[in-house]
Parts: sequence; C-alpha cells; structure tokens
Amino acid sequence: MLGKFLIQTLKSGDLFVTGLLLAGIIGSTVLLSTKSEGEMGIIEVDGKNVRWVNLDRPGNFPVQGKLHPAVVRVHSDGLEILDNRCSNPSFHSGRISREGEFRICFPNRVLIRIAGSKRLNSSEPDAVSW
Amino acid sequence: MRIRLGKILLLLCFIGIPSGCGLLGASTTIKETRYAMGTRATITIVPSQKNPNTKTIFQLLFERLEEIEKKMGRTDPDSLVAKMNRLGSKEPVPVDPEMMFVLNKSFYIFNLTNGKFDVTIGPLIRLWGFDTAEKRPRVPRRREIMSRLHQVNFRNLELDQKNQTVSFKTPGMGIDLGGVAKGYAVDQLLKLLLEMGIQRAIVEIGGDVKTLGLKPDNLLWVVGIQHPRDRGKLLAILDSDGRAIATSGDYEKNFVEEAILYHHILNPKTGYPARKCQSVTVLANSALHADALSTGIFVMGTEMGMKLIEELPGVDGVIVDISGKIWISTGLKNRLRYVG
Repeated sequence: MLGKFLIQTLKSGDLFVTGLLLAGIIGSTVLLSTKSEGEMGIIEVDGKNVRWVNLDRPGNFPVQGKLHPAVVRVHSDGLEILDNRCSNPSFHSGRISREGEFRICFPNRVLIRIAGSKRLNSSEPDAVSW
Repeated sequence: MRIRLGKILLLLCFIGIPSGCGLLGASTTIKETRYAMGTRATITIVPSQKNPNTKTIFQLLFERLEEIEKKMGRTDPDSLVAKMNRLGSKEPVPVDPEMMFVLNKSFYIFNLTNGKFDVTIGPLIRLWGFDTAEKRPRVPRRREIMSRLHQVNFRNLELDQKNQTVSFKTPGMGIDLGGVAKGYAVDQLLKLLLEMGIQRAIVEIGGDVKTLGLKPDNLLWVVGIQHPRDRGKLLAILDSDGRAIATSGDYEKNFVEEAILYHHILNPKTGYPARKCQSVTVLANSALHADALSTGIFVMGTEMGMKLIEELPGVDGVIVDISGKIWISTGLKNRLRYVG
C-alpha cells in the first residue's frame, strides 16, 4: 500500500534516481561479498596487519618482524612462517589452510592467519578450542 | 526537494534493501583480535541498538583483559602473582577479592582432580622453561625436578579469607595461573559484554571459548575442537549451548629432545609431562572451570578423567587418549559433528 502510494507520488526523475541508487547498492554488495569469499591470508607484525596475501598465488613474502626479518610462504594449499630464528618453532609452527587458523612466532611477533575462505561452509566454526 | 529525497529513501527501505535499512538493525558481526595473556584473544560481537559504539566496547573489553593480565600474568615482574611469588614465603601478601576468588576456585578444582590441577606448579614450569615464550624449554636433570617437587602442593598455600592474604608454608613455592587465568578472563569479558548491553558474542582467548546468545542469522555459534595430531584439521565441531569450551593438548607448547616429545602440561606429582592423553576438551558453565578441569583431567588420564566429567553436573568432555582413541561423555555423544 505504502509502496504503491510512493510510486504514484514520485516523478519519473525520482524513479530514475531511485534506480541509480539501487544499482549502486546492489553493485557494492556484490563487490563486498566477492571480496569476503576470496582465499586470503593475513600477515600481522606486533598486532598490526602488514599485508594481505592471495592464497591462489604461491610465493614467498619477506616480512620485517619485531626482532628480525622472516618469510611467509604461500603454498597452493596454505600458508606458513619460515623463521628458523624463532625460539618457539614447535609451539605454533606448520602450515595453515582453514579460515580462522593462525600461527605465531611469539618472540618475533609475526602472526599469519586465514581470512575469508572459499572453503567456508555451514560446518565452518566461529571459533576453535585448542 | 527534501521531501522528495525522503520519499526516495523511504521507497528504498520499503523495497527492503538490506544494506539500506539493515544499518538500523544488528545484522553483522564485528571482530577484533589482539595479543593478550601471552596468546591471541579474539572477540566477536553482534552490536546492539542499545550500545552501538563498538569502538568503546572493544576498548573497554581489552582494557579489562589487560587489567587481568597485569594481575595474573606470569611474566610481568609487577603482577600480583609475581609479588606473591617474591614475598609469599616471607610474609602474608595482601590480595584483592578477584585474586582470592581465582585461588579459591583453583583450590576447588585441585580437590576435584585429586591434586592433578595445582596452581602451585610454578617452580616446575619455570624449571622446564615453559613460563615465557622468550625462553627455549629444556629437559631438566632428574635431581633438579626432585628438588622442586616438595615446593608443589596447594595445601601448603595458605589462603587467609578473613584478612585476604596469601602466604607460602614452604620456601621456594610459586604460583602459576596459566591453567586458569585465560578461562577467568573469558568469563569476565562475557560479564562485561552483558553489562554493556551486548547479548550476542563469542569470546576466545588462547583456545578457551564462550558464547553469548545466537549469531546474527539466529543460528547457534559453532565451535571447533582442534585435532591433536593435525594442526590443519578439526577433531569435531559442535553447536555451542552457551557453556564454555576449553582444550588442553600436548601439541600446544612442546619440544622434541632425543625423539621424545616434551610438553607443558606437567604432572604436579612427578614433575614430568603427563603422558596419558593427547588432548582433553571440557565444557562447563564457567570458562574458569573448563580451563582448569581440562588441565587437571589431562593429567588424570582417560578413565579417572571421564569418570569425573560424568560425575560433575553441567560438565561434558572429549578426551583423546595417548593412542588416539576418542572418549566422549554421555552429554556430547549425539552433539559432535565430525569434519573431514
């Protein structure tokens, strides 16, 4: 009822503006949702996000940790920190591949995590107890 | 012009564009992660209309976390724990109600687990080098361990409830709240969230998880349990029923020496890493209980541990024993979902 009233009282120019706004909103929604579904890894140093990496493009990414340089390697199936000077190698070492997973080299304050995975589905957890 | 613009916006809302009208409702989650308590803390909230200022909410939450860390942290030389460890053998150390609360709860779990969860394990944790991430852990000599064992016993910790003081009956004793402080912090943050009018949230500190209410889509929050032998896999997932979930595993802080895996969950009676389990996950109404119980039950082992879980009201658990066999408490048998 209200919709019908609004359409009747609006002029053609108004409807054109409404259409433009609609197109803009739909376009931005599509763009945002596409970004959130990309397989992206995040590299943080000392709590600050220093780089996003695309997990579809394997390669090595040098990072300046708090104590020394390190390398984050992107594999076709995951992400890992290469840092043999990290004094806690067995604490959080290894490859990560699932959204929400992370690895930390504590002394060097380098953290990697997976965000926005294509593999996300209804069985993906909101948090992991570990 | 203003009226026409108003009509256009009203039409958009009427059509039901979620990103237009949805701004007024609580349809999304906001997540923030920071380093705290020697680990990673992630808080996810669904903002409420009563309190839409998420920046202030996160600021208050992380300030509270910092306050707990400053009091209960094992590395900060100015923490209350450090003060107790420095002076506790010489004189009664005044503590605040919050510390007394955590110590009383720890004593309760000490008794439940027949001494397998013991916050006076500090001297052994330091000896092994598990107290800070900056140190490289090592296997101490047997005589070093033996010389510390007499310093580990909660019964030698005097909690004076009337004067609110703590003292050690044995010289060299030391408190380590690593098995309980994260759980306590999770409980405190959820309490604070409720006070701030947030009724939907999930808080995770170093693997201790607790949820509030439902997700924005009105589904239950889903919590995964880490697979103890494959960091890339989950053992199972379950829909949260609001109880806290905490896991203790031998995979967390460990090192290998001469082909033997040594980890940070020490048996207070022997001084060596407990060997009966790979991981223990406990669900309990409070994260403090879940945290402390998961550590104590890890040391107790499968049979005694599962017996305790079944006896305690409101408590459930999953134990992966040292052979990899999974033991599930009655209350969880039909609730766990397995993922490839």
